[in-house]
Amino acid sequence: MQLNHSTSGSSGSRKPDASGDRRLTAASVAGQLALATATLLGHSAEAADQGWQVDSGLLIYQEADDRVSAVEPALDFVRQVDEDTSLRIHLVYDTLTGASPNGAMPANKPQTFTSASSAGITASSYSDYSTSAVSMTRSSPSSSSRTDHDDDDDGEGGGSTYTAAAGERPLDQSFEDQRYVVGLGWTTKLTPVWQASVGGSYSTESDFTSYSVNGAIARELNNKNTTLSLGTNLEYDIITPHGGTRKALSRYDQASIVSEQESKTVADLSLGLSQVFTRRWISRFNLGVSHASGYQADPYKFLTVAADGNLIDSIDSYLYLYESRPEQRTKYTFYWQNKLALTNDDVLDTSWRYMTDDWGIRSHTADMSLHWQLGSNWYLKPHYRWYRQTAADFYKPFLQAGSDVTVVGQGYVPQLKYASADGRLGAFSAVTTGLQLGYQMADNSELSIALERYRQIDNNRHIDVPQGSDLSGMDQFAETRAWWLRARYSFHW
Amino acid sequence: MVVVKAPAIQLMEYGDYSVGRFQALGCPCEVLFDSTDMPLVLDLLTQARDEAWRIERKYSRYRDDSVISRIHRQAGEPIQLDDETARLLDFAASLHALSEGRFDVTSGVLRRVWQFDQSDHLPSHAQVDEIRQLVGWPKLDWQSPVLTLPVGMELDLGGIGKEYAVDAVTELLARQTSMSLLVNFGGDLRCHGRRRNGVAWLVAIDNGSDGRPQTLQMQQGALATSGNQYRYLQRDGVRYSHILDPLTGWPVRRAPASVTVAASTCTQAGMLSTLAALQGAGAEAFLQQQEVTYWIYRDEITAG
Repeated sequence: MQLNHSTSGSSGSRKPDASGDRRLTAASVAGQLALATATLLGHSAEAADQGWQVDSGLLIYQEADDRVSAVEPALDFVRQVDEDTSLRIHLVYDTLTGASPNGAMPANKPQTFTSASSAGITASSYSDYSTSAVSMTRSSPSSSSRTDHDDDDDGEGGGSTYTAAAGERPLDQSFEDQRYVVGLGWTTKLTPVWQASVGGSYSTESDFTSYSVNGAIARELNNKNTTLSLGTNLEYDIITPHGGTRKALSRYDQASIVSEQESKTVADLSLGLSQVFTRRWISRFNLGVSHASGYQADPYKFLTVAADGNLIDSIDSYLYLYESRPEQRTKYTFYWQNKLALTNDDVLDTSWRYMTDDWGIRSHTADMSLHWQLGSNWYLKPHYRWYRQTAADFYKPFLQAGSDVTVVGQGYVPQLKYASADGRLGAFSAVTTGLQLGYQMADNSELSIALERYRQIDNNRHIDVPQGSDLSGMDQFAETRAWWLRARYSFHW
Repeated sequence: MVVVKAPAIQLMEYGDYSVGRFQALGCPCEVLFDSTDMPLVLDLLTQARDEAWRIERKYSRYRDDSVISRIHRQAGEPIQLDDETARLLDFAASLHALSEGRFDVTSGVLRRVWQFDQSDHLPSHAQVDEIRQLVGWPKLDWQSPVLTLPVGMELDLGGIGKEYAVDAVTELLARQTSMSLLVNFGGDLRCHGRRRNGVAWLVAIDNGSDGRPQTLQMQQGALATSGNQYRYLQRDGVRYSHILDPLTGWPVRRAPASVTVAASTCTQAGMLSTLAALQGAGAEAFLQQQEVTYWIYRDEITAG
């Protein structure tokens, strides 16, 4: 929707025009000629009559160990309304199922949880920490988003229970959700050098609704070799967790419900510069600032409290506290992308992104892909992405009685204001490797399939626990491993 | 009958339609309007004429102030071109690729040795080979919007210009009126919109020296013709058509005397007819493959 996509990933693989070396069979001359003529006549008027440019895609995402899996079909329609104006409609539907870490530590003894009227908050809250490079949507399906179907009889100890065996990471077992996204965008040329776009987006799932509007202006300078742009996006989210939001750092087994509904606003501002250096080298810079204000915690996630590495008996279970996050967050991003045409058809795309926020997270993303033309129709596109982030200041794999929480008998007093064991706020690196195979047809339609693999590596400082205690020898960070398959077909309709 | 006379314009009313005429691009130009609202039609006709003149001025090889002349003057150094010219050159590049080198906007220099005056003055092979050094689209450096034309080479958009002008004029008028129109520049024509009385425009295709013109009903689309049966050379009983193959520098063998093609725009029709003519003996087969409507006329004695 935005004029400047600052994300890596699926930037269209259309090559620079290579009219010089494409051999065509006589039969397709008329078709190619029709397209060339439409361009010559600046036709958008007639190009418009040719209907919609459609980009359809299907993403199948699977995390290892039977964690989250997602299926996500997406459709993108673009229509040239007239010479200067285009309309874009974006539709996504996805379904998520699987299990997700609830935040509690694995231990050397079984732990039983009453499925909170549970389900995570939508992925979209976390797109920056999204563990994967899934780029078809703005969010990563690896974040949890769930509805517990046993949850209708909410209240009095209702809901199902699940037990994590000794040594097993507690995963909230059953969740599924469906998300619908509708986006609309409108881009128009104001003058030969000024372009403006406006858009809006709506997405909904069972416990999360998001509205956003965006606008951008761009100016071409220097014989169109330079483009400067300024864009903004305003988002308003409504979070309605199943069973309501729990009080920050309240006891898991005796959670106090604070409200049925919370909200959050996010304002983004980005400044972009793209520069054509030579016919074969295009560079793009982006500076972004984003401020989020409101409810930003995951209402379904909590933390283990341990005394010298041992779980603490509480009223109905061991002692776990619901997580707590600041209500304000400001982040800054810098993005630099270079596209180099090595030959007329082979394009190397490299980018680097740096993000820092006032929660203490700093991340680097390096991304590289090569469009390798195998013949007149086929291409291969290997992809490599490296990511590393530091942990948020308040990230804790678990809380320690004494320093983090004072535990007195059955009571407790938190000694900190914010804490979360959400892996997406921890320190980790991640590597994505993938390969895409594409087939470009003479009528400019294109079919491609990509397979990608994602692996996370824990970079957190391990908290020492006494030998033989409940948490001794347990992983303190749940590394995510995932793979996904993405099929795309773009065509004229 | 009402006749309106304006500078360089003639406009006549015939019953329920009117016809405007002017001279541009080296040929008689005609626009048929499905209206007798003369002030409106005159306004449209004037715009049509101005647009045709603009294109002629801009791309004529014979005018010092044309873009083409400017490109020739600055040969050897990079020159920045405007949007419209850049689109024309991109189009020329596509055509060069589509025709596998047979359609080449740099081939105009071949005219220095080939004059199709129905005489028997054939150039020598040496002459052709020498001039051929100056032909070849790949030799120029075109990185839109910057062109560098090697010194000595020439650019000639004449092979595209007239059909492009027909489309440009038709679309200019169509943006302002819903009335049915037919724009005809020297036999290359395009039709827009349905006539009020539902009757098609009648178009005659003169595709043979002796054959009677064929009459065609046109409701939409375009027609263009490539070839001219009066432009040829003849020696020793062999007739050389004026269609030159830039790859050899010599006339295409067994080129049809004329090829007329119907398509949705005049540019498409014109380029298909030119590409077909360049196929020589294969013109019919080429057009059959394109699944377009066409009319081909061949002289019996054309050979080569």
